[in-house]
Amino acid sequence: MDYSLAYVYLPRIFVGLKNFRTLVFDEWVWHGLGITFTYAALAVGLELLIGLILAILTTRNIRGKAIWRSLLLVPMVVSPIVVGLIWLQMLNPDFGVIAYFLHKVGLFVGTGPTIEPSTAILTTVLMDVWHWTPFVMLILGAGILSLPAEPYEAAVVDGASSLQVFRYVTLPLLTPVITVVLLLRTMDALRIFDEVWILTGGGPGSVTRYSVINAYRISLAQFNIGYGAAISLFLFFISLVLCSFFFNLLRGRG
Amino acid sequence: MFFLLQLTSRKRVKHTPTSSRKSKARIENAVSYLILTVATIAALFPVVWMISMSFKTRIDIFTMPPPLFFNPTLNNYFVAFIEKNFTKYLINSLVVVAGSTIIAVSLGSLAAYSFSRFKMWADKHILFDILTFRMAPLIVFIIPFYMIWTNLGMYDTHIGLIIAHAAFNMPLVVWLMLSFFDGLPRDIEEAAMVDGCSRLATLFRIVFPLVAPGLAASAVICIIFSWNEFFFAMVLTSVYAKTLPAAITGFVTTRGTLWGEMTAVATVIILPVLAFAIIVQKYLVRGLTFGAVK
Repeated sequence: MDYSLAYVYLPRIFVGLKNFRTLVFDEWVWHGLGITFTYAALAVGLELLIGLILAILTTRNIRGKAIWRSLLLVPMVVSPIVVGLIWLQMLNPDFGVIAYFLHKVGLFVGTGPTIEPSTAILTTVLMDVWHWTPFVMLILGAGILSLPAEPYEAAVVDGASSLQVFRYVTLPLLTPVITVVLLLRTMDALRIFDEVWILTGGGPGSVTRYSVINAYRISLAQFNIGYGAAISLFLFFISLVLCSFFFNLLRGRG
Repeated sequence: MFFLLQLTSRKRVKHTPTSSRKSKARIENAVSYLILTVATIAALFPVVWMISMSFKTRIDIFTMPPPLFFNPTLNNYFVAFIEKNFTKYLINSLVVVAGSTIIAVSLGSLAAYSFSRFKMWADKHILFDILTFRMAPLIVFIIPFYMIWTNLGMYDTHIGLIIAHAAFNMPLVVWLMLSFFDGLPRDIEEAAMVDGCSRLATLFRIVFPLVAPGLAASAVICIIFSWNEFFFAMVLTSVYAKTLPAAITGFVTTRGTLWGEMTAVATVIILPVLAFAIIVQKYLVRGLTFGAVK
């Protein structure tokens, strides 16, 4: 390191685009980006599927609708850091409750889902699904409740089957809401930090070293602040693309 | 999966009741209750497990298989909040939440009103910039905040963290309140102004009372995010202004984790928000989607 922003008494040297050149050839940046996108795709996909099922069920004519919804909502408001700690405890190979039952059925004996490199990403995905599916359920549920009744009546009068009603009435009407959820969840998943930081810390090795964890390590753990800032700017530009979609959705027609 | 598709139509339309339809409906009902029960158990188990652990002794925590029945103890709470003085961090959390929420809601709602009612130079671009502040990875803002705060001597102060949290919550307030102001007809304000109200009097006497639900929703969202926030609190504080989420990681030590004390603090972190969120459920949807879904 030929300069450092972390020490005020050192001279500040202008390095031009040096940090960005380093970034292009830094395999950790691209590795982080790749697994972050994998993570986001898996997590958001599962959340949408499960969330849609739960949203349909909780808006149906069932007993105790409000109670089901309130109970299912719980994981969403748990602080991300607490989510990480809860799962850290339950997955602990020696005395975690999930690990205990996994051992009972002969899985991960002597190790744990977060210690095995092959399952570490999947574990963080499942943690995210647990945490954020209620969010998807809540918003899709609100969307379903706000749909007008007339198209349904018309469809039934025209003799549409239930499958056709779902495919040609519910889904198209719900598309705007699904898009909102998709964009919000994708943006949140791409900037995942708290839960994974406490659960795996980016490990084992660097299997779950997602983009933000990578940027944090370089900037505020190794104090290579200039380079860390370059990486985070790069991440910022990626999120700008998604953000502009969301902006058009909110404001485009207004 | 197929029966799910049928549920959406069943909700709206009354079919002629025949016996075969009735038995089919009964099966559908049974399956949907089953799915809901499984999902609810999956959602609640980790939280309940964590809360129950906070009442366990060290021996019960490390017993395998986990005992179903145990003698509850409040010792973990005592150790965490009295002996290890986590009350200090609890107060820090409350101060930061209150300060940042007041700043974010008061400034954000005024900004939203201007965006809604006046045509300004480049207002669309400014609105987009505001939105990106909420959507980008926090690390983008944490590095400059860290550099500036250390140089200004605001590192590890309450006011430093309050400003950071307010800056991070303000975009949500602006966008949420914008959706409320846009939904409010201008005629009401114009009528008030014709009757001799100034712009400011109209704002405080007519407009703000009408968007009170929006202000409440913004405040709720700000409180939840600020109370739960970890990344800023971890980087921008060290000893003096540490909040609960940042302090709780201190229980994960190189010599093992103090699970009992940790779960006690975690319980204190999640219970207020939980009660809060269930009470104000209807605001959450609109708030969390920036006003896009009502």
